[in-house]
Amino acid sequence: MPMFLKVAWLVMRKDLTVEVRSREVLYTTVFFAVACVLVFAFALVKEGRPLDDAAAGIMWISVAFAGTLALGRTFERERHSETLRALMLAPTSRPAIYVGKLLGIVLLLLVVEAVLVPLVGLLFHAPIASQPLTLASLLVFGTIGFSAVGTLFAAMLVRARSRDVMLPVLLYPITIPVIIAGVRGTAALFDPEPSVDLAQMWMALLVFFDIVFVTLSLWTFEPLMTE
Amino acid sequence: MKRLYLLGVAAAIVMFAVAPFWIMGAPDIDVPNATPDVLLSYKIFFYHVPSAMVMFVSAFVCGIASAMHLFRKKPGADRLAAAAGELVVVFGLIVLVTGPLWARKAWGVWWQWDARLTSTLLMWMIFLAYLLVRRFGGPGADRLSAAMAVFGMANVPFVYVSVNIWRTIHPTTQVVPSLSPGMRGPFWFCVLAFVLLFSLLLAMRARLERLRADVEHLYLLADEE
Amino acid sequence: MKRASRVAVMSVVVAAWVVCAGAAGRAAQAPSTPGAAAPAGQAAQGASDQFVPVKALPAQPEEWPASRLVLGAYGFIWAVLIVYVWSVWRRLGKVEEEIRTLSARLAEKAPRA
Repeated sequence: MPMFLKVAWLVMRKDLTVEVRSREVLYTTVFFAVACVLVFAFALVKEGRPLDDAAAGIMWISVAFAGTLALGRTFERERHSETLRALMLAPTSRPAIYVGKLLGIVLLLLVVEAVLVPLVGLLFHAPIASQPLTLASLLVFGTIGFSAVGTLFAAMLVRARSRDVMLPVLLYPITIPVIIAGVRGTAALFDPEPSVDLAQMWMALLVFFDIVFVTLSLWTFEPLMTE
Repeated sequence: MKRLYLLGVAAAIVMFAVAPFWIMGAPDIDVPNATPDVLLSYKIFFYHVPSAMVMFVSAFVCGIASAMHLFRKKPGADRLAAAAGELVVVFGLIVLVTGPLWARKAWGVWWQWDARLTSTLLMWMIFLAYLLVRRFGGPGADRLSAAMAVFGMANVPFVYVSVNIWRTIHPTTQVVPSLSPGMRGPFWFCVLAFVLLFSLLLAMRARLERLRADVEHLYLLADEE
Repeated sequence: MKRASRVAVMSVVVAAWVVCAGAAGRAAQAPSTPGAAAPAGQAAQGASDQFVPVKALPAQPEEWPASRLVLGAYGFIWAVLIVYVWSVWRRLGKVEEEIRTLSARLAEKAPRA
């Protein structure tokens, strides 16, 4: 077990180090997410003002789109330098590599969300500060669920043809339940009469999805990455 | 084997020819103040529910065969998974179209974004994506799609249970165990007919996959010459 | 050139998903929620999130008589199954044709070898 955690930590640290030096994926992903939120804010208007009710949905959709982009970009980098094959050749447990990559992606998306949440609060007058802990937990669990499936498929698609189009095709049908739960939970918090109980119910569902998706991904990562 | 198959086809044709008469003769369901229109639309139940059951079975077959292909590398498993994956989409389409046709009368709307309908639609889309990946994924597509099928199979219990956990407009899973005696006969007859149909289609589609594998093999032999 | 075409494809896919997800997002924002803890007070929200008792339905437009819907449902099922069986049959025919051609070609070559 300690070896597993050490390998995961090393892989994550490697990803973060590369990212901190170039910040390419971070900047482009944040910019794209912000652009997404703005597009929706201008597209979904009522009487000339953005729809306040749409805040939760728009935020999560932007995270999903930005996450897909980030996944594609991160693994493209691996493919370009052939480092993924090097990782696979290393005498370590494959699931540990998966966990390391997953943690890297989750951290990246959490940074993006840290930028998005205040923006959404500003544009849609959403009460982001009223239940910060519950909101943060919803975001963390939702991001883990989305990233768990995303990391698995992005890693699988590294060697596939038409990988850029395939990732959304594979990812969205499976992760839409996570997005729905995230949106519903966040909407419960952003409501004029917020309901923390309802949000926590959706959070419980998110945790359930996380457990199922991470377990399935850990289980299938090894046979999928083997030649 | 072929004779058994033809017998199965004949049986299926007979069952599907007989079913509508038995269904029309079945007693009406017990809903207060139901108009004749609504009572007639309930007859869709006898095809809608067995299709859904077969869709779930097909998803399980696809998922288990995919897992066997991924982990045990069993040769026939991938072929079976391909066949079952297509059948999930076919029977899923039947469920997703007959449902709204019934709902238009029973609920007054074609579609509702409730837990059962949404999760069924998503499961259908997962297997649609499965077929897309198989077709356009390039080399290694068999393993990619196998992973999709495993996730799709994990979806099935969720879809089934969703209607009991959330208060939805869709009837709960208590309906089938508590059918009136007059309805049980035609219903289980239809279930049997659909399961037979599913087995026949699965066998035929799996045979297509096996023949395709034979063609590949023959091409390799021809190239060697 | 390769990067430009990849970016173009990504943009098209993202644009399509923006449209679809925006519509779905708007539908998800509609009051019809599958919330389990929904109190009875939510019945006032409209017919969409509770089981609708039949007598409370809006007046049914006569352009959709039940018999047409039922026959449509059964007809659709038959149509889908027939189309699918025909599709598999056609593919089987093509593959069997290929096998015959290849076997004939191999049989031709074998005596010469």
